[in-house]
Amino acid sequence: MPQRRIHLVRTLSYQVEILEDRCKGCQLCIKVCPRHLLKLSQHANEKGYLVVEWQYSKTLGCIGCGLCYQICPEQAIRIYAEVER
Amino acid sequence: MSRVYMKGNEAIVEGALRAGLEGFFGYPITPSSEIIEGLAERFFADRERERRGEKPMYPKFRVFLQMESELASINAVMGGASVGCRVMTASSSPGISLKQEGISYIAACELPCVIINIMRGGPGLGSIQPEQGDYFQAVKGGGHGDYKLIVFAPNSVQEMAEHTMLLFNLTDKYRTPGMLLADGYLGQMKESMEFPDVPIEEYEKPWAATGMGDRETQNTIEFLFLTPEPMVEAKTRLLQKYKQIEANEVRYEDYKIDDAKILVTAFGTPSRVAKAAVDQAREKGVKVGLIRPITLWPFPYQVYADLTTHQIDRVLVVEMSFGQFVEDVRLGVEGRAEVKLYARYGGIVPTEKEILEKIMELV
Amino acid sequence: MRVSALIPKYPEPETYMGHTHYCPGCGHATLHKLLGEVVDELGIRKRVIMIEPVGCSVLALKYLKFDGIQGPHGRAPAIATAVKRLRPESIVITYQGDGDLAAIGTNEIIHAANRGELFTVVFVNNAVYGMTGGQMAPTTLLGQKSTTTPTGRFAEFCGYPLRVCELLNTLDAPVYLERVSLFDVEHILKTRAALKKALLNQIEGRGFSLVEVLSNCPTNWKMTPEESWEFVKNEMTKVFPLGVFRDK
Repeated sequence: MPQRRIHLVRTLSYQVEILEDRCKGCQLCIKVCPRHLLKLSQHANEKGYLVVEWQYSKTLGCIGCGLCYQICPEQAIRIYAEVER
Repeated sequence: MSRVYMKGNEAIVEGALRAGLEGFFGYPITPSSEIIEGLAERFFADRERERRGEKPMYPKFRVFLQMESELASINAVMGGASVGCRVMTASSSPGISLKQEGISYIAACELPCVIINIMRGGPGLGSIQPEQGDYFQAVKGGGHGDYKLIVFAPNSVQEMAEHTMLLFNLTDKYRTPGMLLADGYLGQMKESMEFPDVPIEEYEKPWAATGMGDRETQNTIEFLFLTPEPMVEAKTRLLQKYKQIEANEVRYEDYKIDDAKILVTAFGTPSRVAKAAVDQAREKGVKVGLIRPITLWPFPYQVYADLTTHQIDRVLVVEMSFGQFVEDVRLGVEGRAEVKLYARYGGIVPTEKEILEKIMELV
Repeated sequence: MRVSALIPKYPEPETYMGHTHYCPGCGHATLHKLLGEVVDELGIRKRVIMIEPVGCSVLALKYLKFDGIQGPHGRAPAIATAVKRLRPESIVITYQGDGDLAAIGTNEIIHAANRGELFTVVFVNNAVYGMTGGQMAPTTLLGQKSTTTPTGRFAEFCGYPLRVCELLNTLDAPVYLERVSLFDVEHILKTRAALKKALLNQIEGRGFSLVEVLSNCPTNWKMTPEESWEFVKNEMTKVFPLGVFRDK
């Protein structure tokens, strides 16, 4: 694993990516997100599951708690910390 | 090689150890218990040697376990075979019935292993006397689905050892399970014998599930298909393997067959008695010979076909069951000759006199 | 010039391949993910040999990248016994459902545990036979409906829910028995810790470990994933109390 240096900046913002081909719309992540940033979208993936989508919002931003990642059975969620170099 | 005086079951133990047995998993049952006992004795003696800082006599024989059932034993054998080890289990008729599902999985997954069946009286709890009632179970497949076992049928203490050693090589060579089908008589009787030199044949086992290590692809031991096409492909491979074994591995013994008009045929214990009856009939001027199948699968159909095409017109089958082996003889003969069955069941071994009478009836 | 980079919070899984066939919200998938994470963390993927059961997780090896054996129903402990004893350097895991371990395979799991076999059992208890369409399991709760207890399970006909951890706790040999669940993130992380502890027991050769995971079956229970986890949390834990039964 490459040694990563994380620069701690005051306001760390996160982005969540939903791997749509893995999502089955079980909605467990929607229920667990403390900021309610996830919701069921209206489009289906190849298997016909309505996939979850993450809304980027400046004010109620994602705090990177990872609860969605932990509860997702399919490991269909990736969380990225936005860091200034 | 010096001659030794040994019990049939003991000969299997020695044969397996000389063949490089690594794991044995079994459960006691008369008349095969001497096999698990003999292996226990040698295994724990080696552990004692190691405790005393001495070298073990059988360094390859690393795992011995009396399991909770014959069923657990065959599944442990499946485990050991899946990781590429030479493994064996031994039991008698009811125990072999418990192993059938496991045997079907082992055959499907193309796993080499040796299964010893010292047959006893059946069906049900039956008796501990010798019988040959597990013939169909062994050669036609007692488990589910299309599969075959290489089945050897010894008729002497010598062959109990020799066939065990042969089975370890053949099952590794063809990646398929093998069975030694003997009876309580052969298991319990003692005879002088000489250990044949059957060198251990080493076969690479790249398919074994030993942990991926640096391998990129997973080795999974399984035979499960969600759609027909891959299953057809896999089963065709199995079928081709069985055809190959049928073409190359048929073994039988013929005795005074050249000018014979009458054919006596039997396997296992009755075949020895039949040989003596053939000699006596020959002294009475009867042109009679003996065919004794050594491999029950692959079955020597061809020799019956050839003999009954050219010279034999009457066949006497001697068997210790209602008559199972006789059906395969009939398949070989295919109506070219009259096939008579002399069956003795319940644990009674036919005598020379009885078989001689049956031969004379055919004259 | 301010440049921002996106740093992944979690490492990419090595073992867990995802794309499972499991129903949406099924605990099997979550448990596979946790097992994959723990195996990655302990760095033992290359040594693992997993024995798959017969049941929904019969395809586990399509989602977890290690060698393995698909064993007859309930016989994984017997298979694992031979695998571990003949290949002691490997890490042997049996992954079994409640039908596999607590019904047809009860004899095998009891004797493997009693011999203190050095492998690790991941036992998924979701109180139903999922793959075959929702029949009763030995762990189905009293009164719980299934396709073979259409009016609810009655002890008079089907006996009582079978508690495996408690059963195995009467044996001398096992070193670690814990019952966990997956009904919320807190318990998911506890399950992860239990799996890690169980696998460490094997790495250190300390003895037989079993982790019983209370799981769900949305499809056959005819519930949404969320409702199913509520059922596990509120109903199943009453009959199958969570906790460590043995840790020596």
